[in-house]
Amino acid sequence: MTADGRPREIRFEALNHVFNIIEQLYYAIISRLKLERASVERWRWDEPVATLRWSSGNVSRNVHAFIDSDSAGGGRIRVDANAWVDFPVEGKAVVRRWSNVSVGQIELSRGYEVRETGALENLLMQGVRSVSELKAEQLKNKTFLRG
Amino acid sequence: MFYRYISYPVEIQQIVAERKIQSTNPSEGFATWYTPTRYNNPAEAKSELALRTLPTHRVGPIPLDELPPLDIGPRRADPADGEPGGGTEVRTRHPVWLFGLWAFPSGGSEGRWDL
Repeated sequence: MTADGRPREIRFEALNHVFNIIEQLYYAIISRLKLERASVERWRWDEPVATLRWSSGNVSRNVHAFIDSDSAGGGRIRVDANAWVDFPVEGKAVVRRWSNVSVGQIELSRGYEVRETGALENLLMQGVRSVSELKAEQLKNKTFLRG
Repeated sequence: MFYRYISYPVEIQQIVAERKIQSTNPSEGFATWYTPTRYNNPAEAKSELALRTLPTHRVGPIPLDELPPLDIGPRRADPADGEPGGGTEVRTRHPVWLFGLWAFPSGGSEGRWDL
């Protein structure tokens, strides 16, 4: 990020080997935990993020692994997890009940090398576990969405 | 109608220089996201589309029948990074070409966009 919060140009290709590692870990987690209706996606709105999405019961859940770059050519993987339910209300409105968990981060060395795959796997697993048991009534935030 | 919200200077330069809207990210086949919502407040776009950074530019409107085939959506944006999401998003891997007024090279000057 620049000082004013705007992103620098992103080294799109350089980040893809990090996403390859993250995606392999996601697929291992899907298999191990037998996550239902699971999908994996990367690069949303040109932002460097790999997302694991699944649902159980009526609750949708995700884990995002964001790559934050620094000016020295390295950066960090920051993991964030969410659970949410969209409820239709009167008219065309929809209410989203949701919770967000900042799970943690690990450093990337210069050239975006992942030094400890085990630590990354633990962080992603921690993200999955932080939202996997949340029920709709435990989701603390409430936002009205456009219909 | 659809709109795209942008933060990357190189993509803004591409729109101005080539009259082409498309992500500059080759790694996912230049996948390009749009939303049908016209946000006048970038903070609202950031919140509803669950973006990490404030967009600096909006491009559009693009009529639905001029939008290339979609490979994702329409769907509601997931929550992310403390933002609720919930905005509608779609994705295409194809460019959108904008209307422009091109002045042909003449008298030693190069061609240029006049509009």
